[in-house]
Amino acid sequence: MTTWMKSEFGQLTTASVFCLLSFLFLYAGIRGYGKFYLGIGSLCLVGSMVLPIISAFKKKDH
Amino acid sequence: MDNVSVFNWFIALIPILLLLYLLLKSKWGVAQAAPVGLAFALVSGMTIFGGSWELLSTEVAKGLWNGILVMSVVAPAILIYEVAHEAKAFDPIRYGLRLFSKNELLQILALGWVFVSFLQGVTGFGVPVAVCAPLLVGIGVRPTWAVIIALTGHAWGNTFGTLAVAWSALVFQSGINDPELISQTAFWACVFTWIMDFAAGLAICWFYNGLQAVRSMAIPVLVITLLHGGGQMIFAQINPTLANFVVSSLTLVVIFFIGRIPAFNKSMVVEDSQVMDRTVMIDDQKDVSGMGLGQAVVPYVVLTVVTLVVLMIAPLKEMLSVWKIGFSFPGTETALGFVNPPVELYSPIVVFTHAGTFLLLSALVGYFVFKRNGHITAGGAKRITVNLIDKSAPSTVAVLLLIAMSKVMSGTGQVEVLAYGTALATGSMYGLLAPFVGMLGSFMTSSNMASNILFGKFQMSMAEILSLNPGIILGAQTGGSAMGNVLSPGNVLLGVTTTGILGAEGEILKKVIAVSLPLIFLSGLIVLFYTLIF
Repeated sequence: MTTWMKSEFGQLTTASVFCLLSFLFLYAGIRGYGKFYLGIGSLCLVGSMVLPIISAFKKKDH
Repeated sequence: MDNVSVFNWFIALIPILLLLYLLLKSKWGVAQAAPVGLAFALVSGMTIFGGSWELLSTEVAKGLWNGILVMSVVAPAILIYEVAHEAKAFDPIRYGLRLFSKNELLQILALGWVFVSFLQGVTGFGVPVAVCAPLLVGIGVRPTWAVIIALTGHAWGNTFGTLAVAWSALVFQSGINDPELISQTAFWACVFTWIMDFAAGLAICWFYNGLQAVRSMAIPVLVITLLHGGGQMIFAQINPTLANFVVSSLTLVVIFFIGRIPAFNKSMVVEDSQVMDRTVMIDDQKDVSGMGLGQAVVPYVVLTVVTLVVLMIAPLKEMLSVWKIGFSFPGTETALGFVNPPVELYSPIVVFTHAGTFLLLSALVGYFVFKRNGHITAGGAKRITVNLIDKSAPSTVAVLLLIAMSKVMSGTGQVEVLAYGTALATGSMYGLLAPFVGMLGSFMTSSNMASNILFGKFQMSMAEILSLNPGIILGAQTGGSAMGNVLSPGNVLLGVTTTGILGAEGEILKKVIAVSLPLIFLSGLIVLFYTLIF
């Protein structure tokens, strides 16, 4: 798992999954299921944004 | 637009500048650069443009949904390539191309200009680049150049391709209904897209071997561009819906005959061409696969036939268009008064007429045909699946976040501020910038049609306010969009994903900017002189 998350492929793929989850939660929030879902959706979105940026800096370090 | 100020204009420009800087200067991929642009667009959307959390969430969700739609085309396009690759179907295709012509550059033009344009005429929605870039790689073109060639070669067909959906959007959005004005707009749209087409033919030759290649291919390039651009100009006046399809199909037949002319059937290979990867061992002297060209092209024939049958037979299309998957979104408004109306069914996937469905069907038919004839061996399905995931999973985040960024920018009024601010600053010189506005639209949305929807009405208003000829302004809008399509990071992503070179977006953008920007500037000059004189 650690190796997976250290690789660029792992980070981008995980970010892709976060993106898809973010869509589901944000949509639930928008359709009136409550701010809780908007919050979870936003967190997933932040996760999907942070992971690729980390991968960019890691690549730069190498 | 009372929220246009120099400050707002500059803030709205920053996400795009950030994206370009990270792609071109820092050599980041779109997957890494898009989140930075999105983050800035979200912060400025909330703080400067008055977007609420709900509004931003709605726009992000719309963008993510649009991204899912794009990936539903990309993934099956990769699947077709992987199926053909696993079955070694590119060997007979290479051999078949050699039978068509021994001239390597003519083979590249046939795939990267003529066939890609044909696919644009039939399908669009990114399919031409997603399908043709890997095909070019299959005949020995370097992946980066394969993407550049496919992008450049298909762009001219954006306005009248895909049964002229982008053209229809322009006419509808701008509200023009005077037949003379429609005819004039079609004329100018054809002028600008012809410029792109001619430049694409020349550029592909130039990429291959500079001026020498341009000279050696001058006649085929002239013939093809006369058919593409000139033919479209004539047919667009008769039936805009079929204009691009008719001429790109005709050209597909004509290039076959060009390949039979002895002068263009002589063996011509430039060993040190920058476009070709000579390290890959390609034996095109004989077809060792035992497959035959007819079987090798099965997925592509199925794709063409199914698309044509479904899209051209109206009752069948109507029947299949019943099943739609889409989401409704509530209306939102920024604190500055920019309104996003509610949408009942936002960007629905029409399941059975969707480009992704046609691609998936073609890939499956190809798989079963190859498998039945023993060209896909044990473990093939697993290898295809692993390669498909390898290529599509990491690029999903890039596509989704990039489109989310563009939706946040348009939903918070930032794109409008950019366009209106530019127009207000230029006044009567606006003609020069009209194609750049079209380019901005397709750069942001990766789509000629979306750009026309976004700016069609705006361009019409500018023409009326500044008393400019609306025909040429609207023509420049869609022409600039077609040229800008080449620069769109979203379209570049399609190519790099299907050719397996994710991260090379900046390198490709640098090359296509050199082709596209001068053409957009030239189009701007034409509009400027025309509007100043007439």
